[in-house]
Amino acid sequence: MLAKTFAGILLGLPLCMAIVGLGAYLWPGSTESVLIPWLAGFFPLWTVVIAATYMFRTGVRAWAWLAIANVGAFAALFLAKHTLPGI
Amino acid sequence: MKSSTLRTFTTVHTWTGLLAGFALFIAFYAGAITMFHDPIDVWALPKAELADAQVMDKAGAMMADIVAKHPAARESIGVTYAAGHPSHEVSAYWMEKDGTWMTQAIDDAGAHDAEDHEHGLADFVYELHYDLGIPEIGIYLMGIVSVIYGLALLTGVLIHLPNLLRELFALRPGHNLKRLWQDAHNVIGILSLPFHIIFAVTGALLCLTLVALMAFNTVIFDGKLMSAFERMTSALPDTAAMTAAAPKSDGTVPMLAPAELGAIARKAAIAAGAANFEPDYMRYVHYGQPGAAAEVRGTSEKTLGEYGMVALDASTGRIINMQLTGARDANHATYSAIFGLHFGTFGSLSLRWLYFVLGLAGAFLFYSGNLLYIETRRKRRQAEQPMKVRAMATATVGVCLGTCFAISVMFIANHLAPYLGAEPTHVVQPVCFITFFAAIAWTFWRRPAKAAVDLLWATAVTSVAVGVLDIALHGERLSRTLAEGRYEVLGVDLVAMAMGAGFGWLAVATRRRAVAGDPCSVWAAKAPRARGSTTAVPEG
Repeated sequence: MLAKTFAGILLGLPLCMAIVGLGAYLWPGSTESVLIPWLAGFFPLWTVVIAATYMFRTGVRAWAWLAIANVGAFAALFLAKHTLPGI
Repeated sequence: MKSSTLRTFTTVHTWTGLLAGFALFIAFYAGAITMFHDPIDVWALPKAELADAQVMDKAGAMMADIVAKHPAARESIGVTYAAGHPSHEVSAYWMEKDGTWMTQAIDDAGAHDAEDHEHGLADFVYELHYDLGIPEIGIYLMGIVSVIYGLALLTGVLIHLPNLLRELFALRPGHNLKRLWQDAHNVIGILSLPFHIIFAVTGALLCLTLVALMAFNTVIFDGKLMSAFERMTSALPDTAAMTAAAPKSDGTVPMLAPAELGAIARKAAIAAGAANFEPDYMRYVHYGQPGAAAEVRGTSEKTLGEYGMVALDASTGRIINMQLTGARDANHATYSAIFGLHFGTFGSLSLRWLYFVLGLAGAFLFYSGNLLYIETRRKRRQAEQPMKVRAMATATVGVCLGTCFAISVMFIANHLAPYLGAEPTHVVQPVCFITFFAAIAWTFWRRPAKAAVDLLWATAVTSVAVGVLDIALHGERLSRTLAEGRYEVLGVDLVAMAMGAGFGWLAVATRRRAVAGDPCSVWAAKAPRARGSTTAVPEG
């Protein structure tokens, strides 16, 4: 329970930041024009991710899957930054 | 949902509620009262009502004087408008070179640190709402509390979902008090859910904006977010770029005064289709220099995000840009909506009343959550309850009822201070904290069952006294405001007395339970015969 809690808080945070960033970069048109709506979505998204983390069967699985999701999300963000106009 | 998942979410709901419940109780109780910040401010300082129109005319001279004495203010200096409120102060704000915010009000002889502000009654209640009165870190603490609160809401909905329709309007009074509390907790939680979602989201955003922006700036947006954020939330073009582009000079360009710029902005905003536009704040950028600009912020009705902005040339009054309802981009609309939703400013007086009632209902939600924790864990067949049940009962009574009592006492202290030779603004904060901690000490000493009755009665009496005292001491002011067609002073008196009656009713109900209720409870007034006794007592 505690392991899942910390996985959701500690790994959920960067994951949600990457997702929000990715959403803003991938948004059709100028990134800057939709940045505040995307940023406003960060806290609700993080809350949902923390709650969803409790659905993993064990704490180890939660840490592993969230770590993989983080790597994927930041890799995609890296790609988006280097191929799209950005802010 | 699997029963194990359901159990997990129930545990999460319990713990998030325990972690955040006390802070949220204070935030909701103080926040409900803050819906009437301006009436309370008028009520609190009977002598300080300003003749605002004349005051605003002096703002232009004050700004010129400040900029001459404080060169750092030239870059950016803001001033608040009285905007027709008798209690709004006209004050300038700017940042010195070392990063400290300075302020100077229209009647001040000189500038002072903006952090050293005095705690007026209404402002201090508002401060309790967003930082619990804890300086520096309180606001971040409340931001974290908002996130935990969001998690408590989400898990609360998930565990309630399977039985949502069947049990939504079930309110089962009877012998089983726990079920009645549970039903009340559920129905209030679900029916005011949209309201709570608004606060969980906007509360976290408002408290943690700075931290979140810095994190996103570094980790996601490669240092480009901060300057973009300024563009996204203001009507002015990039001020850093303006500084670079402006020709160097000694500052000889005459500036239009805040009152004039406000009037021009208002006219332009209404011409652009805003229902109205009441300037409440403006700032100059590059005061007195060629290319100097001004940004006037004003509130409009009939829109979700009430704040709009008009950017003007500060010396000619030419309109540079507008961000107003119906004519703004997604960023400005979202930013403005966050404030509108949180502060309940998108509607009329009836919306503020709705926020007030929902705020008190929210406080009840957290209080009842704690009671449910206690009822779930109490021993049904022994008078002496487990340590965790007693501790929770003590904390719940001390913190929650102590807050209500402390706030009422603070209102009394505000009115009595001048008669004891003290400034109300110096008195309210210490009185609030002393009363609060005294209430907690009282709860330890008397134990929660009796302390709850004591504190409820004390709150009832002081709340009624708030209204009575004001009428007795400032009856002349009351009749004057009523003659002018202003009802805010009477409103504060009447609401205080009505809340006093409410607390009195709660005191009667609590006493009845303490005397006649189940003796196997922390709420039974009779002290257990022997400490730690496990003597079986028949149930019922």
